[in-house]
Amino acid sequence: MTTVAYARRATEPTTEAAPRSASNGWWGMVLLVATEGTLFAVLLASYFYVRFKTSGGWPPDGIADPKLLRAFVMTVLLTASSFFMYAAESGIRRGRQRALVLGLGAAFLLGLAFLGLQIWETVVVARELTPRTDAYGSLFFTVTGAHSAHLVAGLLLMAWIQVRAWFGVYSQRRHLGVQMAAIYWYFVVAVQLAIFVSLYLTPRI
Amino acid sequence: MRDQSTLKPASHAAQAIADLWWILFVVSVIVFFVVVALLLVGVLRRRGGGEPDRSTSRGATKFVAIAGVVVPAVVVISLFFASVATLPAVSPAGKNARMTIDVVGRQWFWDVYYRSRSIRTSNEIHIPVGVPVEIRVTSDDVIHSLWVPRLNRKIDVIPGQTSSVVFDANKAGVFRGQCAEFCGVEHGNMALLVIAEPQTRFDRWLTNEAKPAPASAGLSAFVGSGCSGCHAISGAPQQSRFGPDLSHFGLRQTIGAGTLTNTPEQLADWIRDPQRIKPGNKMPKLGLPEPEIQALVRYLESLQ
Amino acid sequence: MEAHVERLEKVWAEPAGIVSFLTSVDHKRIGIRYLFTAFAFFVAAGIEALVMRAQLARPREGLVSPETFDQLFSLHGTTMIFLFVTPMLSGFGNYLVPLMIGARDMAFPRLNALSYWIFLASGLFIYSSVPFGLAPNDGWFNYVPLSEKAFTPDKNIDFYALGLIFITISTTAGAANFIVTIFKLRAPGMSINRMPLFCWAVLATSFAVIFALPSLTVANTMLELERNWGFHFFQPAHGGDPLLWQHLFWIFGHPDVYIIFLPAIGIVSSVVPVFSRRSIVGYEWLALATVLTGIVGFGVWVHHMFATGLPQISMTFFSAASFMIVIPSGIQIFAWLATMLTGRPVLKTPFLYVLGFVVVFVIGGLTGVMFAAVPFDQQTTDSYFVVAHFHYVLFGGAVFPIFAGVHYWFPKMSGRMYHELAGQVSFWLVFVGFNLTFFPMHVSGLLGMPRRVYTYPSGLGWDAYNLLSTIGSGVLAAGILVIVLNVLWSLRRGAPALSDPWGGNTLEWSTSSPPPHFNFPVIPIVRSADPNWDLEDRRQDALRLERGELLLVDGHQTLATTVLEGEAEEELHMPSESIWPFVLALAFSVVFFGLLLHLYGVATLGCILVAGSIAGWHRPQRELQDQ
Repeated sequence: MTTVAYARRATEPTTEAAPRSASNGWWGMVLLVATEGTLFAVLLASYFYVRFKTSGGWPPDGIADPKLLRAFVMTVLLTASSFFMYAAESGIRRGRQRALVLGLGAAFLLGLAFLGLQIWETVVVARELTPRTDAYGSLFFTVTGAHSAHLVAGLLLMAWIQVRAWFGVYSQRRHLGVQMAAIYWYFVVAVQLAIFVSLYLTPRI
Repeated sequence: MRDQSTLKPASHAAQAIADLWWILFVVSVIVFFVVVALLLVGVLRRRGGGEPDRSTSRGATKFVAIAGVVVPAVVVISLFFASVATLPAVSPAGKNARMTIDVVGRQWFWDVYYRSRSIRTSNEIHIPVGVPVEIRVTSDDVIHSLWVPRLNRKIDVIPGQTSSVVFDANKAGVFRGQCAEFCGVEHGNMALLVIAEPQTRFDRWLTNEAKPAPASAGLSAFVGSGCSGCHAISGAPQQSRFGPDLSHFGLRQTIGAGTLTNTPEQLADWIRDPQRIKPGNKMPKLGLPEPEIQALVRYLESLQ
Repeated sequence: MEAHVERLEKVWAEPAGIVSFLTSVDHKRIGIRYLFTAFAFFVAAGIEALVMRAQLARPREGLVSPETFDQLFSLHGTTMIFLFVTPMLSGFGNYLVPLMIGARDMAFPRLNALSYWIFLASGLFIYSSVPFGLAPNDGWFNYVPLSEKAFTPDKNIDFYALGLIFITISTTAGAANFIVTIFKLRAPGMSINRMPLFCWAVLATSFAVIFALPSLTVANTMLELERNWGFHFFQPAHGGDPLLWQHLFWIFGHPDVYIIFLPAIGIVSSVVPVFSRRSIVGYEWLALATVLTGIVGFGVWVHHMFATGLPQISMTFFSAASFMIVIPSGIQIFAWLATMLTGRPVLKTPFLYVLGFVVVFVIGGLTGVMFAAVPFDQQTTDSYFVVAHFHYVLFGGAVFPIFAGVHYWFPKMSGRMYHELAGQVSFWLVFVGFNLTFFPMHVSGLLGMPRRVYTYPSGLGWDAYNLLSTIGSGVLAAGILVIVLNVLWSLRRGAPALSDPWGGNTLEWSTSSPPPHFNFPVIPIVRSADPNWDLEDRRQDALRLERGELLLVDGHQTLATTVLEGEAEEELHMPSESIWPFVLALAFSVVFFGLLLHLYGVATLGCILVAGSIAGWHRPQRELQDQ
């Protein structure tokens, strides 16, 4: 008899198998995302705090509203990447190696495209507005910069998982790494949605 | 006389706070002694140890529910209302101020302005007794906090923001106050005096403050020694606002924002080496020759 | 049976020597390191306090310059909060949580080692400012604009801001580790409502850390960007607001009070039933109160800002929330009292410290209620009254329980008994010294003495109270010295301790003193909230050991269970010793010193080292172990 079965029998009189709960690694990643998510919540709260403390228009001092098109495309790309991530994850859950590799690859490329656009966006915005302009500029670049840093970390994580996937490390039963990378990536995508709404859409209302 | 005690209120607002304190204090003393009595009974009544008792006692749990939830809830809700009832007395909105004084916190002294900033003085606020005076505060550098405990609660002095507190002294006297938010090395020596006096005396004082100093040999010595690079005297050609205003300095009670008593000897000490007396303050040791110092002292003390 | 234990010894043994010192992942060794390191910082902060008290012993004393005094109180506060109380309680948590829940290590042993090394590195980072006379000097809450470059041009504040960002990594990683350990590694049968209250406290604290610390990190990052990169967040002239710092700081800072206080409460809830010889009264109430305190703690930060001129309506709201926090504290106090009243107390040193805690904490709690009353707060905040209040809450609420814990678990950790008489002497010195130091501060505060002043004039009625405080601080220091001597003496000469000298109710007392590397030769099975008082269950453990059941001897193994019910789920393979946590902490140090000295090349190199260390850490065949 395995130890687990033994212990289960000792504590649990019924023969019914206990449902499997989430693993340590899953919990670890969820807590990391919780604390990092709070970090972005605090950053965005600071943005709105300064906004509501500022009299007159927003953005202040006649700075133009941030342009929507590029940011919108970026957000769409990143959202799309999360679907590929999901495909990769659910693929390996059913043991499909191809789905894993392709899904991860597509998500990675979309993430890379986002990063490229983000750099372009930063260069364009910086023509009018820099972090040194005023508090608005500082907050704008701090929020987007922090997001980019997390995005890069996510890309590195995905690249790592990708390489391991090529070597066939993951299987239907053992794919915690993929699961963790996916949770992190959804978080990166969710933050981008929050940024798009807060920094790009709300100045127009 | 220069008491700074919260327990010797000299205004309606400070009185309201002191009353609130006494309520809080009495309730706290009762709660404290009840808890300590229970603790002593618990510890001393049945000592001895032995095998652990593992029963669950319904009565004990009920005790926790009543003593730990119901009683504190009732006490706390009552105190909340007592506190809310005190709020209007200490809030600027509730008062009809008949006069406004602007106070600017600076490292490390208080700039005081009357009549929409046309009269300037430093480290002393004169107010008439029985007249609610709105004190509008702001800062030119870091955060300070204006606290004159006998007259009212403190109000933080924050750059980029103007806040108010009302001083409404109900008796004449000199009330000491002090900066209450850490503001750098000389935070400890950033005091001020509020001088509450009858309306007529106050009016006389204000009229006198409005007068410029006459041109004199002393004034040119003051300018010649470099004092006017930082200090203003009304009527002098140069009006720097970097340091405290020295117009009518002879009438002031203290030197260096409450650091020294204003006597000719102490003033001479101060001018000789302000860094020894108030280390880190912004007035340098000028190294003036002794006769020049004495001349300056005579001049400054003559500014009445 | 012998064979099983021998096998476990071999599997879990850590090689001796310096290498093992750097690579150990044993939660007990790490826990004890935390305790010793934190205590060293406590001594440093205590010396700072004694110098301050000497300076304030009489009016216009000139012992230290104002500049030095500012560094002293800033370091004192920062050290006590970040480098003593929090890590000291992490030390207890590290040592005790796995033992209390019947596990063989923390959920992430290497991450645990990393937490310690980063704590040490960040502590040394902050203290490396001292020899240069550049210690933080704008107080532990470091308000802008005073802490901006225009007013504090030197690196004092950079040491503070970067140091705190640095230590946040340690605290957050530790918190995540505690949460997962408590959720997943409890012994089979230890459902969440049978978990020791100490673990409830650690759990609530850890969640508070996860959600509170990001605010501190954001605030300090903004400050660094503003100081060194020309950003604007807090300057009104550039569209910022100095109050933003205060909001961010206190959104972290008030929950942090409970982060400090809750684990200490957990120690109290551990000691009370054992020395009252009875199961704790109102277990569920206490667990609920612990969680509630953690949650409500997030809703009261504005009461630190009542004097800033906020709108009345928001002050009233936060005042009500602050009053509310009395309720969970009331539950706790009266649950302990009820346990004592219905028990048969034994007055040993740990229990004395707990009784001292109750007395002192009730005073601190009552003055805390006073600060919820807005007008009173506006009058006495930033005066010595507030200094008295938070020392009653933090020294009374955290340090008394810490001293209780030091004596209570000393036999378990060292295998020897401390000297009881010396223990009781230390208690009375600490109790009298503490009250003599801090009680007079209530009075000097009411008499109008502001805090953080390096000197004061005579004639305001403050002189006698200040002198009393200074005398008291000497007595308090003497008491702490007795504790230190008692510990050092007992480590070598104390009588050998049995595995369960107090008749404890939790599982750490079911294994030997000190426990073996693997904690338990057989994973215990639990059926109540006082498992070590279930003699039959513990006999069953021993029988299972003889029969060779539930031993888990193939490598670093422990049992994972379900989050709520504690049903056995799978065998976990824990990672063994590793040098990478130490290397990673070094790499982080390179980053932070690079940022401090504006050597951005070095900082970039440090980042590469960090990435490399993380890769090295995960390089071996970890996938099996991860699952």
